[in-house]
Amino acid sequence: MEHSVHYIGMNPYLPILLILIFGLALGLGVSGVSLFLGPKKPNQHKLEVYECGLPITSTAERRFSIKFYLTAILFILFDIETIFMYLWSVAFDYLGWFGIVEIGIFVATLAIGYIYVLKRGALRWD
Amino acid sequence: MAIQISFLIMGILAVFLSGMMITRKWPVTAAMLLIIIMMLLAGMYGVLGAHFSAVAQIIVYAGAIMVVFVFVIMLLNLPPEELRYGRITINEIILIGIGFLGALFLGTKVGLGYLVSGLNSTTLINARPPYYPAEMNENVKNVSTLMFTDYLWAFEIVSFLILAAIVGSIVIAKKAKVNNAKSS
Amino acid sequence: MVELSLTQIISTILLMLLGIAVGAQVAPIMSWVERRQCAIIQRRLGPNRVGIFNFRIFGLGQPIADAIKLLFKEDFVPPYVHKAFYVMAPVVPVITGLAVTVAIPWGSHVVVNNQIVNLQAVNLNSGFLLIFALSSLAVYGVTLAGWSSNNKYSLLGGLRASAQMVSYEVAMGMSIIPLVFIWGTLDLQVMISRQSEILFGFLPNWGLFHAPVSFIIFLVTIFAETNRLPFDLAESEGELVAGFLTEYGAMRWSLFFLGEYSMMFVMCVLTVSMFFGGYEIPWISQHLLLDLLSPTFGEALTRWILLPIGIGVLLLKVVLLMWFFVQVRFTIPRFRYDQLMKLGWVYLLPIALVNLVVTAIITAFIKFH
Repeated sequence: MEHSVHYIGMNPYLPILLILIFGLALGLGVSGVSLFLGPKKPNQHKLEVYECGLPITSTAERRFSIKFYLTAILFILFDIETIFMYLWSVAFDYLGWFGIVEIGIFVATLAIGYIYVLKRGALRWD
Repeated sequence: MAIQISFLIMGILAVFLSGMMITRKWPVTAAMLLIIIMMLLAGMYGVLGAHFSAVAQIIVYAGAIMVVFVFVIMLLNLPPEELRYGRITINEIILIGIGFLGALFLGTKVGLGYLVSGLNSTTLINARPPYYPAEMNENVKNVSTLMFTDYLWAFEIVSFLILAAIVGSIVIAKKAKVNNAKSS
Repeated sequence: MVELSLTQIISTILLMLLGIAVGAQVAPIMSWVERRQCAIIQRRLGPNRVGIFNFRIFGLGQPIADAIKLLFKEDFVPPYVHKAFYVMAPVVPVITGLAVTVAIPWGSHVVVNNQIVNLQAVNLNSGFLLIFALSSLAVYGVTLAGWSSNNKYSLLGGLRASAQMVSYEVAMGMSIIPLVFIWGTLDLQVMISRQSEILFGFLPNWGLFHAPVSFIIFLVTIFAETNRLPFDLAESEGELVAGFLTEYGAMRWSLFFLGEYSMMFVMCVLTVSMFFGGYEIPWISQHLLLDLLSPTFGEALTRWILLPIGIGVLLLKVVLLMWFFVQVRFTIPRFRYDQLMKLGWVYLLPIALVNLVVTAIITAFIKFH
């Protein structure tokens, strides 16, 4: 097949590692430059927590809604399902109708969970 | 050879960072180290030729599960004074000892395997670079065809496990909210 | 059998540098484009003064002036922050934003020293999932910035942004599964070459015409993933000062945008590659051009001629898409947070699921009959 030409003489993970290191160096380097170039004039108001200039009423050490946590948990579960669906979609031609039935059962199970989540109002933020 | 060396470096780094992780005082530091460990594991899968596992490792573990960890840490938002660390009990020492011995046993078993059978005959050492073009084309497809034929039942059971997890998380979260409302 | 060759190493590094160069330039150029476009929409002039020497060139010198200004600002780390994380947080989006550029398909391939050089710096077997994997890590930059700033607005902004990013990631992942089974691959280059064919005799065989619903969902989720208006709830000034950016200034502040714009660019490249035929010119495939020009120039040279054409076409498509991003930014007002979560979980996710199942059945009827 002339379309899919794969010819890599290099471990493909090496460039990824290199670019991760490059990004780290660039990020730290660029933010380090203004350490030398910029002025240094701290004053009392600058050192305060910025809340639009109003006196601070409470610190950031407080607890937030459990909604965020629930969202993250549901995200994990649906993300794992998505990963399985990717596997199926790659072998779509090979698996044929059998695969579609399989993924249909999978999606139906997922849909039950999703409807439950919806009915319990876990996705309501208002 | 490059594979073995990179595998070894990543493995040693991962073990070292794991040690760092469990001894950190700030939970956020520990979580960030765990993310790096997950990425190292992904890299290890990658150089062994399991490209899909590598990507799935990052997407699911580093990108999703660790998000929950970080969220929990930030939602609780405990200052380090409030994080009380108890004394290590005798039970914990025994458990750590068993774990350590187990790791040692596995390590020596694999290590001895190399020594006894010689450096050239073990499969790991002999593994050809898996990113050679011919094999590269097929990795993800192989995983998926196996998953949907030989491991079909496991796959379907996983969907029920996930369903149970969804229901469970909602039940716990919602119940807590009802209790709070009653008590306040 | 492939040996580790110098040609391959050098070409990979050159491709990486191309990706980095483009990825890092998106933020400054787009900052100018957005201000000009905003001005046009609001019937103003916008930044049109700064030029190079005496040439004004529509004020294109503005980004350079901005960069110099940012470099000479005070590098200020507030005393109450968690210092290590505060410093690391802006670097995370830069790392992920630049890292995803390795997966950009610039073209098919060229021949150097009798070796085929693939014009995609990293071509993994898992294809574009690499972009998803790396972009899913970008959420930590936002979360860490919010937490380490030790400011309640920052923390709430960071949490909001990360909850938003993870919520839309599910719909995003599901929306493009139909394309994977329509094209039968995860490889972007293969997808693009399939799209160079002609559909029904008059349309280009674009993914857009195969999975239009997927395209709409994917487009919406990109806006949410890159925290763009109308989804920039994390920075809604009215309620959260500036969200997770509140305690940041100077270069650290702009690093967030460097990473974000680079990510946006790669997401646009992904959209173009999956839905609009990537580097292929509609109706005139590179294959056709190769057949036409090869007798005159020879195959190797023709591939070299096609390389800049392909990159040009890709960039043109991406620029049009990014202009659409800018247009939307100044047209649609911001959502409320509950509306945003509702859109992601209650509308987009089920639509993506139904779209997946329906497309699968239709595709199966076409493919297996």
